[in-house]
Amino acid sequence: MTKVGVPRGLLFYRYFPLWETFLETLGIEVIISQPTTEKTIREGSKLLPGDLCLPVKIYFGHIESIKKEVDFLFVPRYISIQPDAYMCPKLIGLPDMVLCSVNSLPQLIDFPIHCKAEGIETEKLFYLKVGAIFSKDRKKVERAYSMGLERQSRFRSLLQRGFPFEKALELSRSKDIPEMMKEDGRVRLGIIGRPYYLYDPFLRRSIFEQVEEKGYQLLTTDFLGDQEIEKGMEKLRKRIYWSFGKEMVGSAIWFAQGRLVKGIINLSSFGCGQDSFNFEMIQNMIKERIPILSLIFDEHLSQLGFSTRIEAFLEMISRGIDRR
Amino acid sequence: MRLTVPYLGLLHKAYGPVLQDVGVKIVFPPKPTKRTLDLGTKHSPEFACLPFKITLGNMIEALELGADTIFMPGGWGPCRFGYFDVIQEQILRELGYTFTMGSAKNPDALSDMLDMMQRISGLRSRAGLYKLFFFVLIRLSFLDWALKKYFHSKPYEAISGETDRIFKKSVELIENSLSVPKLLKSTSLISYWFRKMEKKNGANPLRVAIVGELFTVLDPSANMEIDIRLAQKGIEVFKSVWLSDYLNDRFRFRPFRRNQHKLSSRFARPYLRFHSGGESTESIGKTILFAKSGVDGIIHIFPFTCMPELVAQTILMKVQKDLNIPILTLIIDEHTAPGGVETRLEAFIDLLERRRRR
Repeated sequence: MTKVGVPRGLLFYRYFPLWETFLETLGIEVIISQPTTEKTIREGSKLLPGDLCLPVKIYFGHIESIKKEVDFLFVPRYISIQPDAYMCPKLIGLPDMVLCSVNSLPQLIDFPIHCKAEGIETEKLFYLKVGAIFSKDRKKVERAYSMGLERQSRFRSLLQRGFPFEKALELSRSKDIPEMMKEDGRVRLGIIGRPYYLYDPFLRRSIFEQVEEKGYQLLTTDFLGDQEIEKGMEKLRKRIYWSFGKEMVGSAIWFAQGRLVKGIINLSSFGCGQDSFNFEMIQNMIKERIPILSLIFDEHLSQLGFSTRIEAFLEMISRGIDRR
Repeated sequence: MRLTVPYLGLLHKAYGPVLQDVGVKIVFPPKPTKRTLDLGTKHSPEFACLPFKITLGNMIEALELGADTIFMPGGWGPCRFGYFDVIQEQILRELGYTFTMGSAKNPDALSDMLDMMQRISGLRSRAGLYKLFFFVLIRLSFLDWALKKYFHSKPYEAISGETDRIFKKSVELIENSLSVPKLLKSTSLISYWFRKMEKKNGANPLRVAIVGELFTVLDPSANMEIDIRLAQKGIEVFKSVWLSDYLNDRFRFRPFRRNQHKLSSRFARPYLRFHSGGESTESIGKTILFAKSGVDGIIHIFPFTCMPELVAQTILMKVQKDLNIPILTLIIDEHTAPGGVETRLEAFIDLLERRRRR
């Protein structure tokens, strides 16, 4: 059976259910790299210039760990997924960076997804091109794609209902979706960050556990739908032209205006060009309404540094609640 | 209405006298100093890039001098430059300044650009503005041309300092040529000066190309004048991007000049198949072009946290091996000291000289 390798990094945390169902329906064995460890970072850092951001280094570490076991490597080129927004330049150039800095690679699957140039059909075109590698039967490919889409939308709605990433990945396989998680009256906090920060257990450390242990509920950017984010965008003088930037700023505005949360934790990567601007926007839009904690991680991140600051932040929030 | 525009290379010499001539009041920011950078850094997000910080510093210093309108074109990504105007406006308003921010809906479209200029310059006639806009662009391309002439003559000069004198005279002449016929007359005079200059016999200088992000390649406040310093050491300097080329790719005011972006992307294609923002394609394409045309070494310069150039840097590591061309990477931020850059330049030049001798 043909083996396709999917590195556990970057857009894996957004699109994996779609990729997996699509490929498996075509009769392909999908191989995922093991979760991120210190070693992943070491391997990735060896291949790349020092100033690249940690998530990209992690991605390269994952490629290094599975490249030998697979026939194809799945590194799609996401240029734009919305007509009015780009992805990060590093994601646009990702397949080229992989080809230039990793040795003895299997064949890459690196077709582009470019909504700005090709319109909304671009995603379907992408999957048709990928499918054409493995199967001559176009009907079969189209069916695989629509099954993938179904799973992806189940997965997203599970995330929206507050299921953790791993759980949502697993539950989205079956057609019957469990009941809504009940509103449990816990005080809610928002956490803002790209999916590849928030759902990589190595990067987010135990932020979620720590916050929930203290009796708070954490809402991620996935809690909101596209509509809410668009409404958040309308408050800005100029729309943000990065997809994840839109998500982060839009949901922060929505969180703050709807009084959905009592505080916001912003997670970002050292040296991230976009996050520096996004965070500036977030701060400017909401700082007078609710408190924000900014956490920045890099290669030398430690659990201890994070947890001390989160503890202080939670302390501050609980005092604010008592006073009212 | 008192208009100010942050510095970018020779741009201020191109638009300044022309706009003043038609009665627009212009406040030139003070020449960028340590204070400019300190002011910019103090009020910017930590990981904003150096061009953001320097232009913000320019704006603050110009507002202190009484400017009330700022020009910053804007854009639609994926590089951060397109969002500069919004964040800078936000920061300046928080500091308590009152001003108008002039930014275009889509700066790549001529009509949007002219709309914005009409708004911030107070000029009435659309046709006049159209003529003015292209006149400034043509002046800019002649200024770039004079600087190119400087770089290609300096290593061959027989009398030390003569090229610098001619270049200074040329810039002044272009600056004061306020009509097209005058401008054409000046340029023929300038090319005469450069032609008549006494040349060294049998000089074979090192050739170094500077590639990278537009602002750091062009602006002396960001690149610590490495281009001039290399020229002073008797090295012939090439550059991957020029502001006039960049604008020519968009507004086609020089019909016989090739589209430099397309040219670069043709050369970059084996390594970079999609433009990933900023000047990433130019950096890779021109590196290959220069390497094939016999340049001794490449200096890749860009600001810390610049996303497109980080992609280029990763890919250039491979290009360097494939084409066997030395590349020196200079990443500039507010902590970069001229002394440190100088040391690295000297080491790089030593290396190039040794390679020549081999």
